[in-house]
Amino acid sequence: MPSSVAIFAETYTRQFPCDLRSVAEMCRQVRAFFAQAGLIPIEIDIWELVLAESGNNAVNYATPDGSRLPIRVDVLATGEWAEARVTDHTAGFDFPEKAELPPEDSESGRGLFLIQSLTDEVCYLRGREENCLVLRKRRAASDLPPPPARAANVVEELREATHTLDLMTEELSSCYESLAAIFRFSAELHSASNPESFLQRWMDQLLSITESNWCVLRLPHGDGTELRVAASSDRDWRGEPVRLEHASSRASSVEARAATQHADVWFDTGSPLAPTDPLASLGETGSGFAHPLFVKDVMVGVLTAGRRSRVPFEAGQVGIIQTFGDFLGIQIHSRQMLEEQIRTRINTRDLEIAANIQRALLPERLPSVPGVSLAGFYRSAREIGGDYYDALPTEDGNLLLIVADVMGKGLPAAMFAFMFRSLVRARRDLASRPGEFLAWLNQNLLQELDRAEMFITAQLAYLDYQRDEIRVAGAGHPPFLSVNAAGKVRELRSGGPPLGIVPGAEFPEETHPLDGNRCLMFTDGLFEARNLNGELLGLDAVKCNLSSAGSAGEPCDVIQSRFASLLHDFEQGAPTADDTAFIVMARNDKT
Amino acid sequence: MRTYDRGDTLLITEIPTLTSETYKPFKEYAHGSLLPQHKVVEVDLSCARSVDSDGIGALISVHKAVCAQGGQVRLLQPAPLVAELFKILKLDHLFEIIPR
Repeated sequence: MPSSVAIFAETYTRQFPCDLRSVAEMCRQVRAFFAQAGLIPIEIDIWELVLAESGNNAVNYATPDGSRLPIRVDVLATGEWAEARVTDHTAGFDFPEKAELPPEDSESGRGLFLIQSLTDEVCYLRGREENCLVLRKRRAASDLPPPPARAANVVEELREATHTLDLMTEELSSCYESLAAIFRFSAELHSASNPESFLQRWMDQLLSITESNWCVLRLPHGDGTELRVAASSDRDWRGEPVRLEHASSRASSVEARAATQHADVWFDTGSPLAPTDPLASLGETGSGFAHPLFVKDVMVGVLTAGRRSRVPFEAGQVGIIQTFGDFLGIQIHSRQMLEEQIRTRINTRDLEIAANIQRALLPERLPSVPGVSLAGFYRSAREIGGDYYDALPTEDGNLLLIVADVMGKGLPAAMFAFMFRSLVRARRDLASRPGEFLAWLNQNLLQELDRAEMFITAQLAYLDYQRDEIRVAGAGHPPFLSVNAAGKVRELRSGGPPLGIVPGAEFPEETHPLDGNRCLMFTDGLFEARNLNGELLGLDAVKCNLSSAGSAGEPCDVIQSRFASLLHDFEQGAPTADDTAFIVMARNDKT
Repeated sequence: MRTYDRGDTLLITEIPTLTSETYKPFKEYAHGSLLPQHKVVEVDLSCARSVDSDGIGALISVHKAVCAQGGQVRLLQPAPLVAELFKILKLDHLFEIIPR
């Protein structure tokens, strides 16, 4: 952009037919103009070439209707700068920031590269009916004196120069306003505590900058198949969501078409909005366009601006709306990335806390009970869950075994498991009546579990050595297994519902002799393990292994290793989908 | 345009412009004049007032045809800007350029 404008300026403006011969004639005229304006021969050669390239593109890519319209060329020479504007009637294109050369053996595709290489500034303003390529190049001999003012027409020249200066000042002022607005926008976005009111205010700003009557910003929603209004210059207007499927027909929303076609979609009286287009409810929608906001290949929104009148936006206004929209898109994308980053950090922290709670849940060591040996196992899945096991000596010298599984993952599951553990430890006086104990737990956890829409499956087993029997109650949990020395597996299924679902639920107990001298209590992660083929381990495999352990008289730690190996060998490295916990008990005096 | 057949060299001369308006006739003329024995094609650009990207494309077309029969294209006395264009477009190694 020129830092100062010489008061003396020479201008040339012509419209010529859309054909290559006329481009050549225009180039010859511009040569003569620049020669008269005092440019040196090499500068004139360069301008002839870049105007030929620009004019050829305007001819070669004109639309069928556009080829019937003239191409306009405006050329200006001041003491320091030369400038040319070529107004075309093509479909327009995204002018690259830096044009690339085609392969060496290509016979075309070098025009834009030449234009960029031979000028100092290039700007392509896209509009509905026309586009304008603006080329500027600093003059090589900028210290040349201005053209002599002839006394006879000095007043006229001064008037023209003043007019030119006014036009350029107006343009500079417009650019300054837009830039200043965008800078303010950028600064505010990062400090905005309320994004909705922030966007709303900026819709208003856009109206005043571009002389629009309305504008609407939509953002993708859910899985990205729908666009919803995020801000509108009309505060009372909340348009219906638009679906992105089947957005190719002209009957569909212009916003949806812009998003799916990755291109601006225009509307005016010649191609009006479809009656079903939500924008039609804005009232008179004479002309305008929907501009999709893409960051790399990610669609982050659609900005639509319109006028009530049929007068289309000027190329400069279109450029501002597009620039503003693209800038807005980048800011929205950055904010989304930042929020995603924060969410990830929170989730990571959440998982760390959950893992700490999970570690605190499990007993550091299982209690030493005469005549009994115990071994526990816990393995977490990729996400922390709420599996839990414990063994509590009771006041009457017996033992309560507990296994539980909180539905869900992460921090909530770990916290409910912790609550469950605290309640169990607080009322171990109920240990000898496991069914009643579960009913009490259900009563005390029901409200919280219900509010969180979670539940817990659990199993309590009271080992009564005096009576040589075991009393088991379950709440929606896998069966209790015991095995005797002959390898016979007994399966105890007790049928209460999971905790947290049924108010006042009852949990029947089953009592059996402790003839099975080895017991296994476990969560569903043990038999629902899957291998790389997606096959399930299954309860039969668990029972079969327990039978072998029983008949072989394996001690607890060996049985624990057996099931750990069973999981490892079966899964063959398949990702672990669920937590696994189990506890093994063996009667030493019966082995 | 005029051509001179000098054994293994074909000289094309009297080229007033090589632009979007004129590149097609030049290309057809050059290809039509090229014979299998030509190992060098000299394009005399001393009279060419202007050359644009279409004109350069036509020269590349001739270059490919001559290369296919093991030869090369020599550009004679192009204007300074035209010679510079080949450097800007990184095509100066494809052609032997004889300056003014």
